Amino acid sequence: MSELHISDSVLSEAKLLICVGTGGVGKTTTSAALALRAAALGRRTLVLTIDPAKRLANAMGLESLGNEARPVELGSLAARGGSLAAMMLDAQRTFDELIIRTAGVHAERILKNRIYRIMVDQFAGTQEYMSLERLYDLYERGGYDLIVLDTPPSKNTLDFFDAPRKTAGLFDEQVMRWFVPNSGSESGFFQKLFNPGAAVLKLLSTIGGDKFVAELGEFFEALRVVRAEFKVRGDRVHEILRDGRTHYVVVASPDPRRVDEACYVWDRLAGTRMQIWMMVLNRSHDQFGAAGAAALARPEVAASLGPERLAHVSRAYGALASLGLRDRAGIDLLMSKAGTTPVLTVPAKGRDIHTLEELLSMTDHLFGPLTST
Amino acid sequence: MLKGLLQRKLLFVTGKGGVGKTTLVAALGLLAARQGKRVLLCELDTDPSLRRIFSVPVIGFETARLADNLYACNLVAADCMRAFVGRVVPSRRIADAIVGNRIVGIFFESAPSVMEAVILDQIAERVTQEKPGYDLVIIDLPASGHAIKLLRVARSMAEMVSIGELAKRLREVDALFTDPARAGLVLVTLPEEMPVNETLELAANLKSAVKTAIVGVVCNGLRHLEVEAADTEAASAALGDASASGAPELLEALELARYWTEQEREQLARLRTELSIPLFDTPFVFSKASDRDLVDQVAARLLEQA
Repeated sequence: MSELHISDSVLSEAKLLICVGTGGVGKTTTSAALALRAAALGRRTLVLTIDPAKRLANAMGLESLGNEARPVELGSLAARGGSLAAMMLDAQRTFDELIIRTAGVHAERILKNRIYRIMVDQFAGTQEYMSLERLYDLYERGGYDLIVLDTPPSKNTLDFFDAPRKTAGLFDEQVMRWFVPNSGSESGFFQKLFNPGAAVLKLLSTIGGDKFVAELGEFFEALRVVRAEFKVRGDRVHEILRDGRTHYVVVASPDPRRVDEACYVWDRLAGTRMQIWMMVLNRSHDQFGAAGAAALARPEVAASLGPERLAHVSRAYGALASLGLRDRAGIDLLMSKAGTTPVLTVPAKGRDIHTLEELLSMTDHLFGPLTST
Repeated sequence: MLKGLLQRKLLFVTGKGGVGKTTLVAALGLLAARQGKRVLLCELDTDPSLRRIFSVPVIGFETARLADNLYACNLVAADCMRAFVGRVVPSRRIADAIVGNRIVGIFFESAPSVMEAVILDQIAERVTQEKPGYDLVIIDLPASGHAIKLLRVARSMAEMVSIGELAKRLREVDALFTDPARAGLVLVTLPEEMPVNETLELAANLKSAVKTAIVGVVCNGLRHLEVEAADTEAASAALGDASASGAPELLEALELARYWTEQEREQLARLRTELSIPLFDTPFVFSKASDRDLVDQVAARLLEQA
């Protein structure tokens, strides 16, 4: 059983915490809990999340979350001068606002372009890209000491870090040149010899018709306007993600399948400039083992329960103890993977989180109780 | 009930991440294959879990054999693109030059919906191919949100592209996906509040945004511990001193079991009353089972609900 606690000093020092992990392991709850702890430590904190359970919004005293930061009423937890705000990412609106801000007179035309609309609505990378876009603004001029970012769930959790590169492809100078002849410098000799753009345009027109190509052309031309701005932001975000005061929290669970996923996330982050602070394993059953079984085997307990109920209760405990065994194996494996990086567990709870106190108590498993000094 | 699912030609399986989609895909595939159908399972550009379940070395664009009558492939967008361009452009050399070009690669990877469209094209290709033909193709879709986006691509691209090879193809794909006799969606969930909320929301969104019929809901991971409040109270009384060695662990475990029991009843009831779609349940496996054992246990339970 890992009963180890670590110091919460990173919460007092970091400017950005990024929670990464696959869906369904309590990433949003972990992000909110860490943000709340930081606020209780006296920091002006923002948690930027995507699609939280309504219950969680309610636990933070909010009816719902929107694309604007909403202050969370902390009561006595604000005693050290900290504050907490929560915001939910609306990728579509964030993208539209960005276009309106950067494209000037062209904004309306971009917003109306059907290919643009499909992109903001359906492009798989939009959510990842926009959470970074939102992050950029808030980091630079939000007035927060600490931002906790809950990354979007995706089939591959690290798509997130590829989003700037992927979207940057939209602004590739050579691609633009196919559609917008005057968008770059003169074509070189080799480009005249084999112009992939011409071949692709011909192909697109065969498979999609001229109208489709015309609309694509308009889309790329429109994007050219905002390109410079995107490039600057993309580069800056790249730096922010690797800054010395940016820390990563890998969120997982000791379930064997989740352990495989966590190892994969770990391997992708390890060896980059991104610093992993800790690994948090939620929904752990590692506390269930021999001690509980021994309590059940005490003669006075057996006598008091009676044979029928004893059998029933023993079966249930046996099932949980086998989960305990499984989880301890998963934790051991992740601990050997993590080396000197702390691996901490949060036990599975027989209830949902309804209040700030319950949210805060989750962090007790990581750092011990908040001291009153 | 199960017969209704397996008689279609194309099944999509989706749900929140980590609810057991791939296990269900494998279990449905095994059941159909045992009935004598030729079955193809498709993963979409994921770390191939089917490979691990069936212990086969590689599952790629070309189909791999998993068991009698059961095959699998992993559709990666770049391969689907190559296949699509290969059909449209007569010359193999020109097709290769286009697909292999770096800049073209950047364009297709970043241009909205193109990758999704070629994956859908390839799915339709596999469903309609004749030699060797499949009686049933099961698609392991990405998690809920991404699944809706993927399924909507055919329709929204068709609105934009009105003539040409792609338009024709998108209309065929849309016709196949929205034909309730041929295609259906299966939603996978867990007996917990959040996943069920998401499933109800997904069902509503699918009804309005995607015209594919939802033909089944599978609630996976039922623990069946049946611990009642009376059991936890009796244990608490029997232990006396609640801080004695082992007592906190025991009481915590029983409280968790009681909560699961309550949730299982409540969430199954919600799924039953709020969706009028055939509902299946499959078990949680406590013992340290291999991925394949898990699939067999899920398949056995599905068969009981046939």
